[in-house]
Amino acid sequence: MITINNLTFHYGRFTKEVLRDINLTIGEGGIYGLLGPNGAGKSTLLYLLSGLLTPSSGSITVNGHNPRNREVAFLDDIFLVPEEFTLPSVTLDSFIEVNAPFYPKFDKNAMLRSLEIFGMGSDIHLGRLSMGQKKRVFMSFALACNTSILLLDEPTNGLDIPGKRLFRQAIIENMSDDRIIIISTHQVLDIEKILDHVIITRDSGVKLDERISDITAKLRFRFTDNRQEIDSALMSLPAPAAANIVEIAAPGARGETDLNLESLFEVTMERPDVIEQLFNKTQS
Amino acid sequence: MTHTDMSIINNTSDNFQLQYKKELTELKSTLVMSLIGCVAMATLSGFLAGTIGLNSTGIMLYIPCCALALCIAASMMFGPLKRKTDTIAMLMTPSSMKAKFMVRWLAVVPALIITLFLGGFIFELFRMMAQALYHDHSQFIVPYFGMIKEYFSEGETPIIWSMIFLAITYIGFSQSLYMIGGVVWPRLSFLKTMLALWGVQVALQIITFPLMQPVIIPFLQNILTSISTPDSVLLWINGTTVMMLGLTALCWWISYRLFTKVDINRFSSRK
Repeated sequence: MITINNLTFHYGRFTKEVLRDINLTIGEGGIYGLLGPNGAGKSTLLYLLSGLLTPSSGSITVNGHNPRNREVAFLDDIFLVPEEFTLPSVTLDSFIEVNAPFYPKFDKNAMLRSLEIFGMGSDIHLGRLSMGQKKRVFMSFALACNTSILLLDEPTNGLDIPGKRLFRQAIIENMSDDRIIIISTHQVLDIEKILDHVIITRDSGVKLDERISDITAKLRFRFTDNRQEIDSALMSLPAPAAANIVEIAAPGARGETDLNLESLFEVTMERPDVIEQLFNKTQS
Repeated sequence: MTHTDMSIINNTSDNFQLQYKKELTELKSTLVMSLIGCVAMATLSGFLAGTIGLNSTGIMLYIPCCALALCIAASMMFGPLKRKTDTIAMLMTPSSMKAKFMVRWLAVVPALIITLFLGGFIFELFRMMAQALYHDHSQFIVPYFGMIKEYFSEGETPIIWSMIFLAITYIGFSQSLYMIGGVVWPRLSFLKTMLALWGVQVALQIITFPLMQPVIIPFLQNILTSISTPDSVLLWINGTTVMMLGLTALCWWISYRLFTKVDINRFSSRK
């Protein structure tokens, strides 16, 4: 359970606020996509949730703990995979022997399964891996720790095309009902198919915070070459001879469409007033 | 190993043992390099002493080098804070800040003390082996213990012990100052801390200069006058030691408080 109340953060005393008066509650398990333009505060939010930064004002509670206190009971139930990280130059067995005991719910079998999904063996030396391979190993370890909260910052950076597919597979196979996974990324296509919930940030605030099912109940995402439909759509993303459009679903209409995350992101950026009205939220 | 087995291993509330094991594993190569460095330092001290004709006092050059090494080690205590990735890894490890702080100190300072002793003794072994080859009679550590034993048997033991304890306390105090520097300036910590201490010293001299003639010199003269018996000497030494211990504890507290406030804001380009 994550509760954020009136959170404001700026890096320096006289710099612009990165996050302003954010209110957010993440109560149920699921995979949350955290999207936003560059500088919107996505990574900053993950660092605040991890206790790596101190809020300028407001409060954050994660599983009943203030992250900034860095209590052991908080740290052993949360895992952050940052965008950049280093692994010690040791064997994987040595790495597991030293680091796994910190996490009471660590499951080595789960780690081996994830490594298998990623096409890697367990008899490896971390110092001899490429960046993409290190990412796969670190991700496998993170999933195997079975923390109730897993934060991933740009997890598919450095992964090749098969790696991205395998990443989705590994996430799904290690997901559980009470686990919260928050993925911050620009690579919307990499995570579109696995999300349960979308959070979009912009201009220091949260512009959208909805379940996928609620989004697709109110918005239709279609690909069309009909000029009239394109012109009347809420938003359209041009493609050769056609466009990806976003329309507001008619009240009582049936037949939801699949989410197009890129289109959703664009319509939230271009028509925030409509989104706010549609989802009836007073966002900051 | 299943997660149940892992929870049995994890038997301390702040995970001090786990943090210590992790730290030693990651510092293994650094400790080996330190040992090589200490042997080299002892060798240099021994040969320098031999070169200037002080064959039995190579240890007298080695000891100040050890004190300096301890201060450098203290300033390097928070080396992981130099880099964002290492800072994140350190702060996110599930152990208490107290455990992280103490483990860093234990893995750096006492480990270095042991390494310094080992370095000296390894050099002594090399010297003994070389003696057989070159018929050299210079000595390093072994005769020094004999000198200490002889000196203590002359009846000056309480004051000598107090002075040794004061010297050790002074080294501890110096080290604690470099610990503060280590957490404030993880990069080029030793140099910046040394410059800061020099700056403080100069500032204090400027501030106290007007008080030198009217207050400070008479005060010091009174002290010297009052030190007329062995008991009064012992009192002053022990009093200074207690004061220094207090200052050392204060510096430790300050460096710990600063450590608990560390976050990754220092790496942001958005400040």
